[in-house]
Amino acid sequence: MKKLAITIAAVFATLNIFAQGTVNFSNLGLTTLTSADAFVRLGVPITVGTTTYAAGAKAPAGATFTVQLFWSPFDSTSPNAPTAPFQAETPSGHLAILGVYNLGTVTIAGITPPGGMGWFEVKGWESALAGVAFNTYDDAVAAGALTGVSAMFLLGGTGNPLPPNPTVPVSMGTGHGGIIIGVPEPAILGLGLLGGAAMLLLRRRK
Amino acid sequence: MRTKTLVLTAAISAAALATSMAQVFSVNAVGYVKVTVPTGKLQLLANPLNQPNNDLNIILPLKDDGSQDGVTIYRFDPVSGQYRNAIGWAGNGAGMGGVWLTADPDPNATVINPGEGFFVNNITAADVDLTFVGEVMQGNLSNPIPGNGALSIRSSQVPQSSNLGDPSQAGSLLFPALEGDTVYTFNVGTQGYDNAYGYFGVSGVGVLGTDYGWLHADTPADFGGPVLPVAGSFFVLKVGAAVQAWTRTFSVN
Repeated sequence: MKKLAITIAAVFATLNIFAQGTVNFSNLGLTTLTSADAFVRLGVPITVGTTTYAAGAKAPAGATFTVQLFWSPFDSTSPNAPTAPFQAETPSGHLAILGVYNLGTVTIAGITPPGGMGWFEVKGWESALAGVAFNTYDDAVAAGALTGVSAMFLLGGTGNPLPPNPTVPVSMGTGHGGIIIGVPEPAILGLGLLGGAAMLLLRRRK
Repeated sequence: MRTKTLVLTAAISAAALATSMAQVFSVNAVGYVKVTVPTGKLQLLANPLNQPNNDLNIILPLKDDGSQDGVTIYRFDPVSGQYRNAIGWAGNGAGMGGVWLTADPDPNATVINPGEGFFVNNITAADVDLTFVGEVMQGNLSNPIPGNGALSIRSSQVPQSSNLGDPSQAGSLLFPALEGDTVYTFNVGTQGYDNAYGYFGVSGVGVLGTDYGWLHADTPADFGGPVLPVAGSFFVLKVGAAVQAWTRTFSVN
């Protein structure tokens, strides 16, 4: 009996080792006229080389910005929101064309069962500032670089990479994965409003 | 009598000439394609040649001596988004033939025409050679691709190795690519899917690579899409209309 229990436990442990899900980390084609914007856009104007990009424009292709997929386990006892912090998944990378990233398959080792559900979000950040490169979102935030986070989204299933019937990495879904990089901080917005109010007061006094 | 003989001779000559001309101008190309599935591996394949009946029992019989029993084929149903019931090979004994078995009640469950792909799982202890025999499809061809976000396994209807491409890329397989289409190829070595290919822009509008083309994380300077081998297939997640025709005009001449 004890042997049987150990064997069963060992089998389940083995299954857990192989538990994983796959996601196609790309926002290509996820935006339609009727859905939310899935592009990476700029919250503030920037200049790259000799080209100036307005606020609201699609973020430039190339190494200016880095994006990365983050994952949190789906907890069936709390189906409306993740209960664990989001963790970074690899690879991270740059935009392939204006506003679009296409970084291939991300394999999330912790998803149980294989091909199961999960919460996701995409973070983007300025790859370097004043000669300092940032490998992580947190480093970029700490240095005051331009950053942004997508709305979180739940995928009802991921790709199951395991034989005998491996399913393809799942798409992030229409409208998901869009980021506005460089949204002004609430504190800055507050300062702007304060300044505006002060100017109004001054004009009234005159 | 002499006139009758002359007319008969002329008729036979004309028939012979017509037959010989027909042979001269025949464009049928019959051949075979051999693919090896390594032991213990899965591989995405397709039937590259056409026969009047493309039943697996006709186009792809395996060894009947038991050495290839259990080789399994998985078709994918784009409507349900699931694999269909597996099709497994069972030999009846050396010299006795064999049969592809499935629990699928569909009478065409084992009929796979050129243009559709499938997985082969070689669970045997040795590599398995698959030999497809048939005719190269020619003329105006149309391969229906399920769209509207459906996933399907498709392949070229003709035995041609090239980039998947799009209708504006000469020399490619002229796939009817639309922005947002995603293609997955399966890597036999790693037994996993390669990074996806994603299509952007509108085929032929602007400059290839700048305004349109296939994006791929591993080959950022190549916008032609995956290179498909003869008898290879791929998964495609297709946007756009519910059914889209992958058209080709193909001739072996």
